[in-house]
Amino acid sequence: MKKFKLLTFALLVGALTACGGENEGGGENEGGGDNSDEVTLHFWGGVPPENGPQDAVDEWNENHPDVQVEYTRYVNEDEGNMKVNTSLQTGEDMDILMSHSPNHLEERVQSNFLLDLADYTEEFDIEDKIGPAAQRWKMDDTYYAVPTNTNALFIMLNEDKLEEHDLSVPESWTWEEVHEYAKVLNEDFSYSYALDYDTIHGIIQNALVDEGLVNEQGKSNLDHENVKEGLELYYQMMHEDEVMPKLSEQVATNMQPEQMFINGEIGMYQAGAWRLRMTNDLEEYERDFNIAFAPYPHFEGQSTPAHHVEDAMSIVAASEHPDEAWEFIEWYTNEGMLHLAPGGRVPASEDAPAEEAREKIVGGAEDTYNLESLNNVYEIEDTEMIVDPPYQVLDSINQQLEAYFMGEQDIDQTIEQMVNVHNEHIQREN
Amino acid sequence: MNWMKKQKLIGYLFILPSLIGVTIFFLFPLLFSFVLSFTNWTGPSGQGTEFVGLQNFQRLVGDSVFHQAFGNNFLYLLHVPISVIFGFIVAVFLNRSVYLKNLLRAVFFLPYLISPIAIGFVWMLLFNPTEGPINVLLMNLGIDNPPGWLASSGSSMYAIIVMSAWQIMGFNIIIYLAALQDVPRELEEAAKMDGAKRWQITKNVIFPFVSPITLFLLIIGIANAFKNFGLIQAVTGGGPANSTNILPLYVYQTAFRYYELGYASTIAIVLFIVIFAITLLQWFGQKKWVHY
Amino acid sequence: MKQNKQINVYKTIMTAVLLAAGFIMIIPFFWMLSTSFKSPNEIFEYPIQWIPSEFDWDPHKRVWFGDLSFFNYYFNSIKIAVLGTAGATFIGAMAAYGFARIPFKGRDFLFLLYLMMMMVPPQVLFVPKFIMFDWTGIYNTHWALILPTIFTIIGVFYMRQFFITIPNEISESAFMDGAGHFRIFFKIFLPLAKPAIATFAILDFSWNWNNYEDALVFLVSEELYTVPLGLDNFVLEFSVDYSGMMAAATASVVPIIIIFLLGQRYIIEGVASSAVKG
Repeated sequence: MKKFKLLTFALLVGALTACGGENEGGGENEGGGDNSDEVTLHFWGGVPPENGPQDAVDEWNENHPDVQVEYTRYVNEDEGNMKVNTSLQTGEDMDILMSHSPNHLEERVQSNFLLDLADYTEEFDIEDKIGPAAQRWKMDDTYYAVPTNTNALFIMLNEDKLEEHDLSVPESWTWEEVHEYAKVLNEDFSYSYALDYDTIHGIIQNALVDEGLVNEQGKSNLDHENVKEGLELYYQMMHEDEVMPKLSEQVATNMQPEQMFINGEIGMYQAGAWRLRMTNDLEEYERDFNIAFAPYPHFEGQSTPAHHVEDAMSIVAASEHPDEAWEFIEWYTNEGMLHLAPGGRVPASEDAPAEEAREKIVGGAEDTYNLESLNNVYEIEDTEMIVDPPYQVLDSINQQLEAYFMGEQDIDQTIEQMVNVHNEHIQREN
Repeated sequence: MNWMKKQKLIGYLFILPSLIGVTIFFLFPLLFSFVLSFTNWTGPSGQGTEFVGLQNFQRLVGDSVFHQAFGNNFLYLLHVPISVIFGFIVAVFLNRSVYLKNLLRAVFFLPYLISPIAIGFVWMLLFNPTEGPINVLLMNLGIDNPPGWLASSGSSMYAIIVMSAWQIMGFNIIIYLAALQDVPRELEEAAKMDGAKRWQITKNVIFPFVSPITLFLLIIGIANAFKNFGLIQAVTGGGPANSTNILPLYVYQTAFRYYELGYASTIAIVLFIVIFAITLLQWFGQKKWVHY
Repeated sequence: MKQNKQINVYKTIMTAVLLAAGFIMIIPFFWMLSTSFKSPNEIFEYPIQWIPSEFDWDPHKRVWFGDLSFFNYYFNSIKIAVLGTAGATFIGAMAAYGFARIPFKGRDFLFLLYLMMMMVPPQVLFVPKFIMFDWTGIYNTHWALILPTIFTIIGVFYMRQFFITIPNEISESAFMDGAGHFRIFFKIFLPLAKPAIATFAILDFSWNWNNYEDALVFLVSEELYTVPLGLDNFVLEFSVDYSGMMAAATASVVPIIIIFLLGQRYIIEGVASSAVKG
């Protein structure tokens, strides 16, 4: 038995040390100048290849016979991101990685999987080129990733019905105004206002756009009055005015609000540029009205939430070709992104041909949009970056919101629970 | 004598391959997990991991999701007695004279072998609150407000319970059927002579006779209810509003969504302790019902 | 005569009642199969159309020839289940013999240890296995699933229960003839235990085939996915394609149903005897 214990102990120690030290080899760079004349870069991202990345990569490959890029798509869900993390961990071939949420980026940075881009960004100043919105991706005062895509946030409006009721297309509006619009429009629709149910926590991010998630005392801001106001508004819209689908019903029926909007059953659909791919496709998604665009509403006296900058590209620390990888990232951020415009992605970098991209995002259906209002949405001023809660907190928020909107607990309980979880999390992190 | 001794030593050879594997893949990870539960291992690679003493266990005390998952897990256990009771009833009927006995037995057993994931997706559609066959049937029976099943936090766990009971009932039936074969004819005959009715015989003779089996089925079922989360992960992911989150699922989420591997180990160890308590019950109870 | 008839009436009623109950048990399967052949607007029609007005093969085509093909999942699952089951049966039977028939020192302690291990929830092992597998390089390979199942604990337990029931005289007389344990094991016990081994093998195959949790944690590359993981993936990608979902579910349960139909006597009787006699 004694030997057995010893063996176990040895294994245990071995495992702990082996695991702890494993990534040390990751940083070695052999540079691109080795003997083989062709370099292959492995580029992983969550965007389906047919939505643009494949075309972009093809164009690059044509012009760079010596640096070929291979695109691998992962599904941007828990499973897919786990796959990315473990591939990074096990040293699978990966040179360039696109992360789709700052939370995921943070995990990867903490594990030293990615290169600090400070050496490269001297010529390409990220905040200069992309604007303050890029700060969403800043970690430890530096950048490990370049966001490539301005993902416009907007509310799609059924313009025909708006005109019938003499409602103008708002260039900036408050939640109260949204509520008023919804009440007026409701007679024409099953629901005058709707959103994808998994974005329902957005109202909280929206409410804290100026205040931030954490207050000056380092405590949770989730008990801010705006949060309560926003949640109660949704509740009222769902249960009292019935202008918005009840959460339980929406979940239960696996409701597809985008489809209902196109069918003319929903008047205002809170979404973003990612839905343009669908509304552009008039063949598959027939539609007999024009769409106008309004920015996300803001709370009284607060800023409008700015567009997300997303799809942030990093160089994997273990890559043997970081310089080539950077070259590709820079190209992709500026020129390559044009291939993604038809999928609703507008390049975030100011060096990129944004005008051209903006024309492309509505390609094929220009006549069915109020383009002026779309441009307004892109140009809107006085915006603030949206805060991203960490996963533990986000999950808890979603759970509490489900319970609240399904009528199982009142608003005060809901907020109290969210605040508790959040504060515990803050305390643990420090 | 020497030869006999040698033959005894050969015993080790027989179990050696298995023992090595079990040590590597079960025993060692178990000890490792125990060690991890006292660390703050976070992130995929665990950089900067330190021992943090009992901190994780203290955190458990105040972790509301853990409490909820723990409570849900006990509610989830309901499917075990339900499937045992129905299993007993069906077995008793099957054991009496019926036609097509083999076919019926097979039909009842089939769900037990089927992938919980596949069958979970089927039930998910059957339970669709507005269009699914179950609620449409209920509405046609005059129930105007049928439950929202998986879509409502009040009823979701009950839908899961129905699925699980349905799935494991076949196992219970088969085990009961075998046990019923052993009920001595004389006992039944004697009871009949005393003028006992059929259900009285079932209640007073058969049920006590198979009670050790009942205990066995309850224990196995309960232990499994603390182990399996595939069905729930696939069908609800623990929602809505955490109403179907159970401990094994929470371990999985903590480990591979939040990457808090240390804390996940802590929850897992507590889970093990719960199951271990049940094992002890089995161990001490077995003398009463295991007959070689 | 009269009494006989009465009994038959009773028997018929009982059969009818149980058939009805049995029907409820397999309704989900019928519904799954029938839905997999329906076009989207037919799925939730009421009253239920058990036989679709028109058989739509598209959902099945999407499953087998779509972007996420089940052929690959099948191949992976068969590989894992066959290797895992074969290894588990052999190594398990050997250990079971050791525990059942050879009174070596420390046997009871080790067996108790095995029993304890049986109660360890797989979740306890996830994290350390994740770290260990990563460290040894079998993470994200099929070995991460095959190796642990080869060293089955429940299989040892199950086959031991069977070996115990084999009368002592059989092995004792072989002993007298000078046969060692290896010969007794291979020449006498294995042939005798065929039904028990078959039962275990079939059950183990179905567990391996259905193993979702381990695959979820230890496989990340899609080309390595097994059937349950592929099914899950399919549903994630096409969440409103209900008939496709049912076609995928059908694809994933058919092999088990076939194996069950072929081996149901073994399974049912084997399961029953192990638990009750044990």
